[in-house]
Amino acid sequence: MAIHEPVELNTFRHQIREFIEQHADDEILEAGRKTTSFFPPFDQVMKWHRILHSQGWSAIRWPEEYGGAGWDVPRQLIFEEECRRAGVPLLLPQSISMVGPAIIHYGTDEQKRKHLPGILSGENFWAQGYSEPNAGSDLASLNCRAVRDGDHYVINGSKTWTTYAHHANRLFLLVRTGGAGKPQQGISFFLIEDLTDPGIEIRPIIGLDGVPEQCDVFFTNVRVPVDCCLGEENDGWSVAKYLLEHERGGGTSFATTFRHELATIRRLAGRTGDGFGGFLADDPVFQDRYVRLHLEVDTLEATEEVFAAMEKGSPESGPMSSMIKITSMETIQRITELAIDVAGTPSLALQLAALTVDSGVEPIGDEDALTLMPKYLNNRAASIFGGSNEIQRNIIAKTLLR
Amino acid sequence: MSTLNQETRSMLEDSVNRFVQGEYSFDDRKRNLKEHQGQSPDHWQTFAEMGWLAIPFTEDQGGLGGDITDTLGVMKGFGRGLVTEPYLGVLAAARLLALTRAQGDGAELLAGILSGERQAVVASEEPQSRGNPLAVATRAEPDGNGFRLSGEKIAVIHSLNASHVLVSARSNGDYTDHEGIDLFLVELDSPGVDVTRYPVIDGKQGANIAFNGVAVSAAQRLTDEGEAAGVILQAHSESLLMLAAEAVGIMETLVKKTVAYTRTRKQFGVALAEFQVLQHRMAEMYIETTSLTNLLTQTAHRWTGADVHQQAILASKLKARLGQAARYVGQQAIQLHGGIGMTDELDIGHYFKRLTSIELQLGNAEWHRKRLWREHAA
Repeated sequence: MAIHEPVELNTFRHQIREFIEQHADDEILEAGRKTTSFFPPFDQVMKWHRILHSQGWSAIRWPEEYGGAGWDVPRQLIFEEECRRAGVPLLLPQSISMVGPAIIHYGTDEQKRKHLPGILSGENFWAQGYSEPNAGSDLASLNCRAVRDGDHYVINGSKTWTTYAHHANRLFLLVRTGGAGKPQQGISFFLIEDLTDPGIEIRPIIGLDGVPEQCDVFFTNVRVPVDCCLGEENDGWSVAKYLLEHERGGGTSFATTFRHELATIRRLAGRTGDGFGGFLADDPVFQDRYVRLHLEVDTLEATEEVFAAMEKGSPESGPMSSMIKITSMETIQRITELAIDVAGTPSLALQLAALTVDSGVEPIGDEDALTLMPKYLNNRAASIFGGSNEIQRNIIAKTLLR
Repeated sequence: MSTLNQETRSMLEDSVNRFVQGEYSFDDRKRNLKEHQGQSPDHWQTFAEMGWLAIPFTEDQGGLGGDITDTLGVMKGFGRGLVTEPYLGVLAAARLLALTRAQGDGAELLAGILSGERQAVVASEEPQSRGNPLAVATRAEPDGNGFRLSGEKIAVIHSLNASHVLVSARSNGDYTDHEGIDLFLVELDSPGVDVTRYPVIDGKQGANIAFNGVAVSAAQRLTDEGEAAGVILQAHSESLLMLAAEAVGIMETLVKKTVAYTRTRKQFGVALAEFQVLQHRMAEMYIETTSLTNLLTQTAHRWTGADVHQQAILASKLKARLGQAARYVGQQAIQLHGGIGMTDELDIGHYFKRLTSIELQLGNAEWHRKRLWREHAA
């Protein structure tokens, strides 16, 4: 979307493009094509993460002193545009865009020294232990408990919807350490380093799309050292909220990603019959839906730019992150709806083998259509995860009516 | 015209409800999918014994003497139970055999279908047809005393145990002309018939069928030369009517289950059902579901007196409205269940996937709206 791009930005764009072309191998690109949610195939996305790290580009939005790229917002956007253009997978958000910024903001020097390098390099992948079976939208009612025992805490309880916990070797966790007062008080934020503890059991959950993306995690007498606490004991809610702003506001440009989805749909509509001898791309109904969604994406980009420049944790940034969560997730849901409407019955085939990277199984039908139904199904969760959209609207209304 | 009396109709509906309640729990269904790919021979035998396979056929044909509207109670029940057996697909094929008054092999096949011993399917949709049954690119070229069929059919659901396929092909005319379409009865294991099977998201079995110069005799043509459009259109409309009834069964179930869930699930110390925003959402689900139920009832009343063309319009209205209602109800059922609604373990997601599949089959809402506009404009 470069309108009269200044020379220095255009040079920058070509440097990025060249790097990606030279370093993204077939396996990584295949993983990009076969990504059906916000969480790409694990092995390949981590491989790409490590390649980007070798160039210092794994956490471009972090402050430079902690390993960020030191780019301004236009350069960050160009980087993301070039990544989408090439079709490499989007890096997993949990480490880079969620716990990383929280450690930078709340961590002790020791914690930063210990955890940030492994996040940057991709050696460690962190999963998010927030929701529980009875604490979803009402996150503050969480029950997973940690009791102090000398230099340790002992954790008992369970978490659910923990994305990619079965791939993770680290976990950030909200636990109840205090008793009295409001539910938000008495919550602590833990950084768990050892997931091989026999007291931790991780059980993948099969989703609507037929693949395990989420997990249940169970804790039975798991001992962790007291210095695993990020921020003050019993003040984990502040850390949790700060992190949620990053999660909801997105550590990346959703707009850039969504444009890529729209482009695929347009290509498909150009060669899909309308059942009366013409093509869908020439159908005014399709055209109107397509352009409306494109406008939504352009508008989202404007909001993302404002949010990117905003101090996180400020009175404005919370509601703004809720607004991005609502608009971005509802836009992608509508995009995936348009996608299956264009693809039609061929998208009904369940093609788990063809969707697996390196399976060698050829897709049935149009390759562009292979991922569309899994994306439609998977993205039904987009208005539920990260705090349901009903909760986000409550947050905005509360600010308005204050 | 149906000759069934009210008593027989009630009996049929009761028998379906008993079957779904007694033998088609969500766990039973799971086992059936695992062991029989969702097509249990025992269940199919039950379908035959209960007379469900014989409902819309005359007594001469060995049927019960009902019409297609008499199958709607069965389809609603199958919707509630998420029944995966190939009832709709096989009945559509049998209806075409009956409508064309098929002789010889066709007549034998029809008798076999009604007794539950044989199965057949219809292959109508093509890669570019979007469910328009009269958009036929598959060719029937004269060859000696017979023909050779060439082309590709897609989204053929329920072919797993079928011995035959009824395939539309064009011997004359342009892509969407009503004239020039023929209907053939072809054995699925004929030379040149290439079947690619795949599971469908709703647990059923789908297939794309390529016809690579398949030789067929003149006797395999079920209709007069170039005159198949009428019966194909009628069978298509009838399938849409049945599909709508299944959708109604699913949507009624989703409303009920969602209301029950929000009454028990607590967040912020109260049941979810206490939140006004969710109450309104459920009210909307109810409105959409009840509207479609009413439209289906009205459509069924008007069906018998309608000609083929009028039935096509009635079917399009129903399917277009269905698309809108099913999408809203399905999506909100998941949203109100939250994360648990996204799992394979709970039935909600499976109802949602079946609704999604119904939305896209036999022409989606946009295609049917476009067809209705063309009727208005004509």
